[in-house]
Amino acid sequence: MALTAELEPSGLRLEHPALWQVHVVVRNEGDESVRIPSALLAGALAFELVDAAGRPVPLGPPPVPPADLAADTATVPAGESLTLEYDGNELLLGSPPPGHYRLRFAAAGIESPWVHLEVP
Amino acid sequence: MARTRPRESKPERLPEAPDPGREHTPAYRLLELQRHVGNRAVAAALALEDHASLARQPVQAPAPAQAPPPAQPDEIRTREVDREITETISHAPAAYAAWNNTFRWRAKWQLRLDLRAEVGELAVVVRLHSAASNAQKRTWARAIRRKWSDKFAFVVLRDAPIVIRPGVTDDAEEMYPIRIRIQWVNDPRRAHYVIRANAPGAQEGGRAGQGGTTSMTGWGTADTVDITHEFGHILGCAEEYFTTNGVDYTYGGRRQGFRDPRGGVMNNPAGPALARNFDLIRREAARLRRVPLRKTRIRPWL
Repeated sequence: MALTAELEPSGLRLEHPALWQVHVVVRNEGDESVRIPSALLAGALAFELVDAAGRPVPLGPPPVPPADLAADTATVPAGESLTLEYDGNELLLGSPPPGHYRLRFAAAGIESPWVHLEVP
Repeated sequence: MARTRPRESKPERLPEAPDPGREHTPAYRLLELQRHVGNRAVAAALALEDHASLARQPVQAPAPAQAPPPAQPDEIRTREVDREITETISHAPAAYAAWNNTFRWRAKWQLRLDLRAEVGELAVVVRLHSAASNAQKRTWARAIRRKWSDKFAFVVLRDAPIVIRPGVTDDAEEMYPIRIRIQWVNDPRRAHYVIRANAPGAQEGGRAGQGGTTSMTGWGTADTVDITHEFGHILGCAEEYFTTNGVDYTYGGRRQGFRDPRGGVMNNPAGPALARNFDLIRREAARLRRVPLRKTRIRPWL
């Protein structure tokens, strides 16, 4: 797939998820438009968070799956990008225990590099 | 308006279709009485009355007061609830494989048990903050109340059921209708949850999708259905679709497993709230009422 993603949190210290945002840019470096089911971009489904030992940290509950995944899609035209904004509490409904974590966007076969976070 | 009567299996079985003549039965009149004058008043009256005559004569209740009397100490009990909820979803069809995972959140609200006979209710008070308009907040709150409020009651069982007449017993010592109270607060730090208002398709790429609801706290401005499912998570309910926590909601493949026409709200947001969806409320209410969990039930509130 010709899609790549970059992730940029509003801060590398996560103190309160509701006051924290994540900015994701999905780029289509291919020659054709790509459609991604909108439901797969929900925060609880589109991110991976692991602790310092690499153990997955569960995110908040996912949305109800739509009856037809293809009914609502986000389109990334060829050569263009799609910007996604997430509030922290779309991923986490409370801060995890203090420590070091890594977060990445991982949805519909698109994976961003990991970003390191600290929960004070 | 007729209420939806969900079909449920264990542990609570809901009544069958309404019986047109049931309003003439003692049990129905008793429940009506409990609704209007309070559970404890009826319980006290039942305890004092001669059971044999009770079977022939309905309890004469005092006229409902215009306003409840001031609460005496310990008549209104409150408890802040903050419980971690974990669910594991599996066996989703390939296209929905992203749902196969473990999810975690906290159910947070205040439980307020009003023991006054004239009131007799169990309120779940949820403080929310949102930048949405007041009209939007009212619309959301109304949809949530219609789904979750006054559908079921928290019941404290008697030690031994009272026989009203042969074949008719009353095992409920107290019944508290469960009511949802949403309080919109201006300070997000005072809120149990901060709700983000999503206009459908407003975000670049249309991530919010139809209706706009994306998560437990990301509510669509055009949605009054899926938000009632998300509110179920706030109350502590897990999903009831695909296979969740080992329960197969496809019933061996006989159903789609999500958004099923006969599913409850945690399977199909358009469906009704089910008794089992009040399980956490029941557990917390039992502690608040200071009775063993085994002495409590969640029953339909007629």
